[in-house]
This record gives sequence, structure tokens and C-alpha cells, in this order.
Amino acid sequence: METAAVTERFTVAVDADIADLAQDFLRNRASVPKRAAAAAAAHDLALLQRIGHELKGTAGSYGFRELSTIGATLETAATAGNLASAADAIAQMGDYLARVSVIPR
Amino acid sequence: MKPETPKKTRLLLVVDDDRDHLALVERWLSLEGFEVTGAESGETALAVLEAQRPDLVLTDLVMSGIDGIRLLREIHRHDPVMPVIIMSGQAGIPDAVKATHLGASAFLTKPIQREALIAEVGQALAAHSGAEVGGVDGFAPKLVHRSQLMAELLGRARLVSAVDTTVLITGETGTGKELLAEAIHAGSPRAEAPFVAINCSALPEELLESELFGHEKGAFTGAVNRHEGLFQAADGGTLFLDEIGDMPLALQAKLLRVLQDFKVRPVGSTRAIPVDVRIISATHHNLEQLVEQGDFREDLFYRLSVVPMHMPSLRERREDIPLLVDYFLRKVAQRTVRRPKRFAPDALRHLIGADLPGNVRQLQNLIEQCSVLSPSDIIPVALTAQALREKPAQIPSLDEAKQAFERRYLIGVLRAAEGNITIAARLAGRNRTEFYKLLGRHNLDPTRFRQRGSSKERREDDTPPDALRQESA
Repeated sequence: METAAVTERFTVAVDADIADLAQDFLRNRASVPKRAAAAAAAHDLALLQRIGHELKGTAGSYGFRELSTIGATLETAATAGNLASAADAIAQMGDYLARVSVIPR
Repeated sequence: MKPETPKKTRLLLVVDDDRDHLALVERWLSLEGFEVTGAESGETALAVLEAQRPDLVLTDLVMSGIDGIRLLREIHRHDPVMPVIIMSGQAGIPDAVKATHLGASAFLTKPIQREALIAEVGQALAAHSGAEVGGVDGFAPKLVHRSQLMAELLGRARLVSAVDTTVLITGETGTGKELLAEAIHAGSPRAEAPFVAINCSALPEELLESELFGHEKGAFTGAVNRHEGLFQAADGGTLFLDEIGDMPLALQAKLLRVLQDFKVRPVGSTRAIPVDVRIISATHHNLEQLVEQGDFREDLFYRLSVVPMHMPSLRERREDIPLLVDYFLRKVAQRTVRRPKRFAPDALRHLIGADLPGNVRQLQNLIEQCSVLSPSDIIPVALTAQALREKPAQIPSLDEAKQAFERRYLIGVLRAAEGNITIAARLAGRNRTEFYKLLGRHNLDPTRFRQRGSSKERREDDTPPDALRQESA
């Protein structure tokens, strides 16, 4: 469940027994917006599609539903060759990853 | 005393080129008590499989290099029964269909729900495990199970097999009462001697008495030869009296006498013959209730039920259904010399939840039917549902049941009369013409029931009436 915090940051509650992995997952995704932006600049739609696809699946499995939706949007935009929509999704991804943190439940 | 059935730790191989997703699935499965090995590519997975034999493989579909489908093919080339679950972020139906047709146990769509993952893994393991087939230390290998209920029953059966006490097996039709009796015999010191079974409901009283105790030549009309009864045939071994609750009261008294002094007196004989026989009986009736109603002798009931055992119905052991399905599919495949077919995951779930009043026997027939009728190697849920609705053979119509009884009866009469039509017709209370008609209807040839050397003297007698010659030929 994702809840807006008083500050710009927000938290996502995940099962305590996977909370460490969820933090690793977010940390490992920190460079993804930059990689996606580079792929968009290079018109590498296949790479963009793959980035979106992986994000959709893995973020969703961890319980980051909004991030999963962003991944799905990026995948759809890349499949359709819609770079403007892809750029929006990449921006949302960067914003999300910059503000999210995990709390164990 | 219950046998210990230690839970074996299952080894699972998880394959995913997304390291974070791999770590998550590994963690979830480890928390469930599984031993888990992870591989970040199909190539690594194949290398792992050269060294280890996991109980199940869970693989991502889309991977660079060897993808999930190719990995599935490679795995099944070496081990056709290894359960493989495919995970994919693409919820494409063609992929799922292809994976299922290639023998995947299940198809999970990413994002994956923890509960769904655990459930699919559990079902796939249960459906494919052969480790728990049969009982303790090879006892009762035909009684396929994984349920605690059956494990406990077989543990008791194994203990009781070592001693010569009588055993009364109760349970619904089709639950495998005779298989349990056979297992007790096979596990006993009498295993090398015969196991002889008789259904007490299939024969009229006089014939049943003759079948059990034998008769002397001339003991009754039609007793043209001396006949050794089943007690003597089972000497040194086990006599299984199925449907004992249907035994007529008069015969119950005679059986009780035999059980008291273990001597049988054939019909028409004054001589008592000692026999060494262990008695196992079975019934689908509530014998205690029959005793209360006066339909079953109380003293015989106590004599027969020193150790009572109850075969559970299939609905009490639904967790055994996947194993039974696997077992029967393999049996069909052996008989037809083909690769075993498999039930699609949703078809298997349908079977597990189905109402099967005919129990294991109905399940076996249903599996055979589906296996024969399915055009592909994967038996679809539609065919399974249709077969369940039709409930083939297990619940025959009244006419079918009557016909089956009539045939069994005629066989019994012919056997007792040793193929002599005049005697057989008299025993059945019919004239020869009517009796020939009956035989013709059931395609029974009386000459097959004659003993060698005795057919010549009866040939003249057994000539069918002219009008029926063609019909009975």
C-alpha cells in the first residue's frame, strides 16, 4: 500500500521477511531512469521495452504497484514507438525512485 | 502406534535473469521450507541440472540465450516427469498454451502473488511426486497415497499382517478394500500360499456354501463330481470374504463353526477336513447395524472383526488424487505402449474437487476414458468435466446391474453343474429351453465349464433344442 507522506517522500509497506530484498531492489533500480533515458535518446525501442517489461513484473511482485504501472506504460509506449509517452514514463520512474522508501509490516 | 512419515525437504531450482526477481522467489520458497537453488540463466540452470536433480524447476519465460521454453524442452528430454513451472511477464495466451502443451505444470504471470506461487508449487509437487507412492517399506505398493489418513491405515495394516488375526475391512464401494486385504496377505508369513477371494453377494446361498466348503459327488442334484471348496483352495493362505454383510444367515452359522475349529465339512460329507486359513472379510455395510437388525450374527461379527479397519473414501483423501491420477495415467500408457498423457492443470484441479461416489475405481475408469478420448497429450478440462458429468460405468443403470448379476449367477450355476445343462437349468429353476436362451443372451458356452474327460458322457444330454441351436452356437 502506497501512502503519501507529509514531505515529498513516501513509504511503501512490504512484508517484513522480504523488506531487505525490497530495499536492494530499489537501490538496484536507481540507475535505470538514466539508462532508459539514454535508450530513448538512441531510439532503442527494444531496450526501452525490455526495461519497462522487467520493471512491470519485478516491481509488481515486490508490491510496488505504482512503479509496476509505470513500467507497463513504458513497455506499451516503446512497443507503440511513442517516445513522448516513454519520456513521461521515464520521468515518473525517476521521480518515484527518488522519493520512495520501504517500511516493513 | 503410528508410522513416522518424515517430510522430505524438496529441492527447487529457480531460473530468472532478473536478479532481484530471482532473489524474491528464492526467499519466498525458502520461507516455506524448500531448499532452493537459483540460476540467472538457462545455461546456468542446465549446468546445475547436470549436478543436481531438483524436485521442481521454476523458470522465467523470456531470457536471453536459453529461454524458458527451450529450457523446458531440454529438461523434459532428460527427465520427462520433472515438473516445470513457467513464469512470464507477458500474459500472452499463446505462450501459456505452448508451455502447457510442452508439459509445463503451470504458468504464472508476473507480477507474481506469493500465495499463488506457493499453491502452484505445492500442487505441481503433489501431482508429480512418486516418492510417497505405496506404503511403508514397500508394503501395499498398489495403494497409492500421500495422505496421513492412508499412511496411518497402512501402518496399522502392516502391523496386523504379521499376526493371524481376523481383519474386517469396511468402506464404500471402490475404495480398494480387496487391495488392502491383498497387501495384508502379501506382508504376512502366508504370502507364498494362495490368496483366494470370493464375493459373498454374487452367489445364491446353496452355491455359496458349495463354493466355500466344497461338496461330495452326489451331495445334491447336479453334484456329479466331488468339488473342493475355497477354504481348502486357500489352505495355508488367506481367504478374503468380500461383501460378508450379504451372506445369508444360515450360512453365517456354518461359517462360524468353521472359524471355531478350522475344519470344513463339504456338503454331503460326514468328514471334517482341517484347514489352515486366515480370514479377511470386507463389507460396505454397517455390520453393527446389521447385527442390531438381526441380519448378521453377533458372534460371527466379533469373530471376524478382531481388527477392524476402515478404508477412507476418496473425498476424505483428496490430496491423494494427483498421485492416483499420475499412477493410472502411467498404467494406461504401459498398456497402450504410449507416452503417458497428462491432465492440464485446471483439469487436474477439477478432478481434485469432483464428486466421485465410485471412489478410486471411478477415478481409474474416468482417467482411462479421458486418456483414450483426448486427442492431444494434455487432457483438457472440458473433456474431464464431460467425463465427470457422464459418470461412465461406475453407476450402472438398474438394467445393466441386473444383467451383470444374471451373468455372474449363470456362471456360478454352470460352474457348479460343471457345464451340464440339464442340471444347471434345474438348479436355476428353469427348463432347458429357457436356460439355453439365457446362456445365448449372455454369450456363455456351457462346454467351457466342463471338466476334461466328462464332456463325452454329457454331450447327448446337452444338445440344445432345435429351435435354439443357431442362437446358442
